[in-house]
Amino acid sequence: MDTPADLNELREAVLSRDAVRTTGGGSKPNLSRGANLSLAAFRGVVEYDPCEYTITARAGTPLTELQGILADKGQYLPFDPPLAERGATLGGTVAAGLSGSGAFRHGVVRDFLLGVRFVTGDGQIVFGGGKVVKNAAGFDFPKLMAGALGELGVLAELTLKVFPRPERVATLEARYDSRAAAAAAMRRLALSQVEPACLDLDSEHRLYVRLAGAHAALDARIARARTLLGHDAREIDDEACWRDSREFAWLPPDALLVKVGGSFDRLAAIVDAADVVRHRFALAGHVAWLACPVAAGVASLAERLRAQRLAGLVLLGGEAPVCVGRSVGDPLFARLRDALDPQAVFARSIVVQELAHAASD
Amino acid sequence: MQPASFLRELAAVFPAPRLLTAAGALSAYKSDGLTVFHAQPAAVVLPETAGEVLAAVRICHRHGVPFMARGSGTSLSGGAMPVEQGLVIGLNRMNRVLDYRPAERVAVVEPGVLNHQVSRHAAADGLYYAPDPSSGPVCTIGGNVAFNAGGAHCLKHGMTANHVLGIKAVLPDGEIADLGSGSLDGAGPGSASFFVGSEGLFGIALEIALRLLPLPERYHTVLGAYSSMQAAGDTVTRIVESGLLCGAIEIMDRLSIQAVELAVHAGYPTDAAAALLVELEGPAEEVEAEIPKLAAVLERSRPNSLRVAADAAERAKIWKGRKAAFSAVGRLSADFIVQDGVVPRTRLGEALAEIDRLSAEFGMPVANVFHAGDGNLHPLILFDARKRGGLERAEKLAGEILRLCIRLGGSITGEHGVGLEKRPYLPEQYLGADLDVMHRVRRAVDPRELANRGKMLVPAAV
Repeated sequence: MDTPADLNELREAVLSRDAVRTTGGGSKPNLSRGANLSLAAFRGVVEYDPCEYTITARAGTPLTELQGILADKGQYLPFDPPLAERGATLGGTVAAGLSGSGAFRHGVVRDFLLGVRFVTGDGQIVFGGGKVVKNAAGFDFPKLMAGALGELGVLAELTLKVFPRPERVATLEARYDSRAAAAAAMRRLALSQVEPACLDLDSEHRLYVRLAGAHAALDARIARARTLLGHDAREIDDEACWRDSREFAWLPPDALLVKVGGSFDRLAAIVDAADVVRHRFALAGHVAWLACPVAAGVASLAERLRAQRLAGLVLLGGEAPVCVGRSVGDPLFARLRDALDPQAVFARSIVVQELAHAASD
Repeated sequence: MQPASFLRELAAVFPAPRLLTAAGALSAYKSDGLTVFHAQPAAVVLPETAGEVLAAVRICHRHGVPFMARGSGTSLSGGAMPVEQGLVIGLNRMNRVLDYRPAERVAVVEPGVLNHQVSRHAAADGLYYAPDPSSGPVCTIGGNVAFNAGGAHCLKHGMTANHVLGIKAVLPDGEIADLGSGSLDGAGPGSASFFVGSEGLFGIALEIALRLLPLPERYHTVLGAYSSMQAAGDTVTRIVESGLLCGAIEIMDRLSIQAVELAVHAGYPTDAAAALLVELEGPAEEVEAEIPKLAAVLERSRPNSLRVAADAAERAKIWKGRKAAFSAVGRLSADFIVQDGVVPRTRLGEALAEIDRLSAEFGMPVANVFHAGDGNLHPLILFDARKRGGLERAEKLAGEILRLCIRLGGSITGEHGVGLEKRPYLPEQYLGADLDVMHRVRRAVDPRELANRGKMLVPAAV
């Protein structure tokens, strides 16, 4: 395992191998299987100016370290990255394109990525994007890299937009008899002006509503959210609720964790099948996290995902294909990958969709 | 001139009223919002369906003719100026909302839909589309996507790229690509967001899935008058330090205030050296709780005066003034050019002082109106093109301002894009490998550089 500690060592490591598989904190084992390049030593904050709302850190920086530094200045990562307690790093989070339930209010990790320094498959060190909160110059590489699974380059350094931390947070839980009833309440909240920070719905039809904001305003907003929930809402331990959500504490042992994004109706059609043992909808039903038994594998899930034209990413819990269901790649991505990694040094787990039309007719 | 077979093939797809080849008809398409640049296209087509766009792109590809997609032509960077003797694909007739799912807060639109049209469509459900470029009543979503349009509310809500959930596009060789998941998050790379801001170099968006937000329940809009730009700028820093996440923070200088007041009578303080516009937005109780915090910061900042918009009408008036600033300042001068460079917010004061110095050195007035919350400057350089060398000097001054933005660690453009106008400066912001990789990517997507050739990057082909 190569463990570069600076940019040149990282470049050398990429150039010295025919196949490069990167890992950070190892918190998403299905994505870092067979890793031979660890960024764990390539860590630390490079630049942080709280008044600019921007922070630049090396890819191997653990999220917990980053969050601690931000919290000291009253700021936070609004996309609420998951798996921090399992040791997830900033680079791994960006490469996997992972956001937590808090992304509902302000946006996903991609929305907060301003700049990226990466090493291409042929060893070029490239900086894309910028270090200011607004930039429309040139191609927006940071946006592309979020979710690209490192297939376009090894992420080295990332600049993020950050926000002031809300003064206070609180969470309501309401349980419904059916998914339809829970989903109706979820939509009432999503369309309301109460502005929930998180809106999750679990397998047992429990809806979780997090509110975040000014101290003086929160009680009134909680009261309004209760009204919208309809019945039986109770305030629960906010910190425990969302830590369990971020760390997937609900995931049964011996289960694979699969992330799927899409419209709620199509996601709902997936979760009822027998091989999804538990699930949790996040972002008001735009994302479903699925737990599938390791023993059953993902073959039949993949089939159903394809039928619904949905793409899944398998993160945890034993050996499985990384990408399942509908191809997550597209012809544009395929061309970009050939440009940035011409020798296919990096993994090519992302399956590119079939040509929709012949290039010339 | 393009071969007759090229025009014949177009004529087989487009009926005569939607295929323009006469010099007079073409002249309306020679420029965009930046009229100092112009070029003569070979033809203009006005497709009404995605199939017709595809056909036009494929005909161009077959004949090796460069093409440019155009919406309302409001680009301020020369981005929507035609390629000389290329094809202009005018998309204004593709203005349908294809799929509207309020329960999921998603709208799928065609590229010719106007920015404001999206919010109007969603208003009945209490939803709106957040990116708000000043040209919102006339600019199209397709153009917003191509140039990653911004607006006054980007600090909190982000730019166009942050509100695009998926794109169906035709690549420059006629291949169709489905980019993004169409939902708030999904598995896979950010191809859709990467397409946003690519200035038409990756092809044409045919369908765009947009994220909608609930309309803020309450706004609180304050207009402060200051005796110096420095004082207004320092106040921005104090507001940010206070931990308030404002919807918008804008500053206008004396020249802009006076021009705006003459044009729209919005009640701007004409005796002030700087006007600061701050807006809170959100749930009613939340805004209510933030008001005293903001008031405390503003009162400590020793303004000449503070005015709070009493109602929606007064708020609208204040914003009308801000959004009319370019055209209002334009009335003061025979000609003007506007830049949109970005500097780190904490270096705004330094940037403005240097712009003042450059303005004096060049002997050209510069009006400043900008998105202070995200350090996005908008210096308007006033000049007279009839004077010999007037335009050249104005462009030279503009270039010095762009270099200043790069030097201070910012960007040459925050929301207008590189286009043709700022193309010479992109290699100063992105050096060596950083720029090479952009060319490499461009050629991988479009080896013959047919799509909007000459914008953003210097073409290799010509």
